[in-house]
Amino acid sequence: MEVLLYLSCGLSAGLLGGYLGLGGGIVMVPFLTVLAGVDFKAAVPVSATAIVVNSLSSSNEYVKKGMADMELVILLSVFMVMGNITGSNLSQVVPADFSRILFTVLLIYTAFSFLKGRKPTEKLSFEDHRTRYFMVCTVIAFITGVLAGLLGVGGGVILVPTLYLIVGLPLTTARGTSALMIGFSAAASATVYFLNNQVNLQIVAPVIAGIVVGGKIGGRFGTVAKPLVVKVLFFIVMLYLAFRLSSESIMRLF
Amino acid sequence: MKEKLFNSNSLIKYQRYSRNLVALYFITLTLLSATSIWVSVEAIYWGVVGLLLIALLRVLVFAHEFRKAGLFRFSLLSYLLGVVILSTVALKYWIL
Repeated sequence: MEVLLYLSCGLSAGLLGGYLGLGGGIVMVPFLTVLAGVDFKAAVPVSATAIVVNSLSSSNEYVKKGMADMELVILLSVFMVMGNITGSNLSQVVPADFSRILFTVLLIYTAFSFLKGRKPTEKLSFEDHRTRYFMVCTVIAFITGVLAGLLGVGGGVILVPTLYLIVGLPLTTARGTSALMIGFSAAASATVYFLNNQVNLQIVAPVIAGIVVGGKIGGRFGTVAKPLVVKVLFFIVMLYLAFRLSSESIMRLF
Repeated sequence: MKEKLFNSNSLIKYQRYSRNLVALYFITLTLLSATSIWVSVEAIYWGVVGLLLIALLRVLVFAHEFRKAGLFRFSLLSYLLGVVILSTVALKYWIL
């Protein structure tokens, strides 16, 4: 019975993650902690390991259809991983409640901007502004990495809207690029958890079995997804994440 | 568009074979444990080791493809990514 629960956890994370170009941690961690009764500290390493598989599985569907920018993948990954290290070190200095509430405000603003589908004021194009394009992208990747490290969340939920709204990438390319990128940062985190013996091997096997199937299906549907459906789903995911991040901090304030 | 020079066929093949291998391995382990057949923790352990290696080796596929496409800066950047990931692991595991 437990195996089925873990399997469905991986499957649902793969489906949503693959569809939206995310890792699926936003599904896995609550699923494992709330439904399966797994401790939070055990759920996070399992989630990080499974995200590596989801990236392998779902990104292939986007790459096959040319919906991922390979140059951006490498460039952004380098700076995102660097930002991630900075963020996780900063989290020891910056008060958690402050960063969570600040990020919540940012998430809510992004969620509404994303839903409206506001066009960027100036679309940066690679051909015309090569240096500027790359500068903007590296800054975005670094900040995304810092935020992800600071709050302990995956980068995908921040990265896709930023690539779409600020860089001006098409929604499918933003999701495909993100799906490939998250594999690298997740691999770094998962390796650290694994070396510290924090990955629960009994849980991780069925979750991986589920996510490898879910990721493929999710990725396949994601490449033909209608932008409105993606935007609405992202809107819900971002508001949900905002709620999860801020609820405890707000409760503490009152 | 320069990105068109990047031939993604190797990456697609690499990811497809890795995914199939991971799927076969972990689905078999899950089925065995679901049918109450004893599954060694070591089998899962080495599965995860293999999975992490597959993920890290993907950087080399990128580097190779960029080099073949004549995008040498991006090839170097791919190696740099590998170094950054390994340094992160070393930093978090051994130093912090």
